[in-house]
Amino acid sequence: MTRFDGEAALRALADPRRRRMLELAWDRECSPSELAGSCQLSRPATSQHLRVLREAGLISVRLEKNRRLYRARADRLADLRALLDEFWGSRLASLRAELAAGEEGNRP
Amino acid sequence: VIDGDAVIHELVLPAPAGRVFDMFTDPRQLVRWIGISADLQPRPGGRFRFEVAPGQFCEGQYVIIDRPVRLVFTWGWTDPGFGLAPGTSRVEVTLAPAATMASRPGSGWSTPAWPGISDCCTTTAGPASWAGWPP
Repeated sequence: MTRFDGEAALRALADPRRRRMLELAWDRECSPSELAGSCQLSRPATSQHLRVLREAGLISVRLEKNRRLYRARADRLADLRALLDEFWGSRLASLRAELAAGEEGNRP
Repeated sequence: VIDGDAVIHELVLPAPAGRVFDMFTDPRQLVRWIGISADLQPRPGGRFRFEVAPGQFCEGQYVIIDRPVRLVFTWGWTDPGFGLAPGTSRVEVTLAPAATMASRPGSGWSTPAWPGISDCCTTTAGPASWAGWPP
């Protein structure tokens, strides 16, 4: 994945089952069967959700012997938050400055 | 503040709520702080589009317009390079007198930063569906 796709990440996060998978794989690697069991999903459904998460860059996969192990990518989630946070943070600072200037101007 | 389900900005602004609200819905006011040109249809379901920087546009749709206390709109960038397309993010603006906010437990600050002036603006940006997350 060459660039972070915030939209794909938001879409991936919109599904509570996928959020649950990320929670499970937040601190440690999980196998698909473990995720399927914890989320009460069939294996094909689990694979489908994992594919969406992987394509959105929110989960990484590692092959160990014959097993695939998944882990949430906390860095990507931090990127997503930063994307949402930065824009409004700086704009609201401008809003405050503008209002302050307006109030100054209104004073006799 | 980054809450479980959203990015939250809470600030005290030196103006009455109505004036703050109009900064979001009146194109002449909006361009003073967020863009260089704006085309707004401030009614529920109405669209807006503004130019943040030359050639960079933000677009969205108003969801709730309740002057002067609450404004909800969807939002995103038209340029796919930003990775956040219009409609993928939801912004909620809540305005309340600063005195009320300051007395609310856990609101994070105890005295208005702008003495004598009384409004507070909270914006929340994020998908509505992030609940208590990430862990």
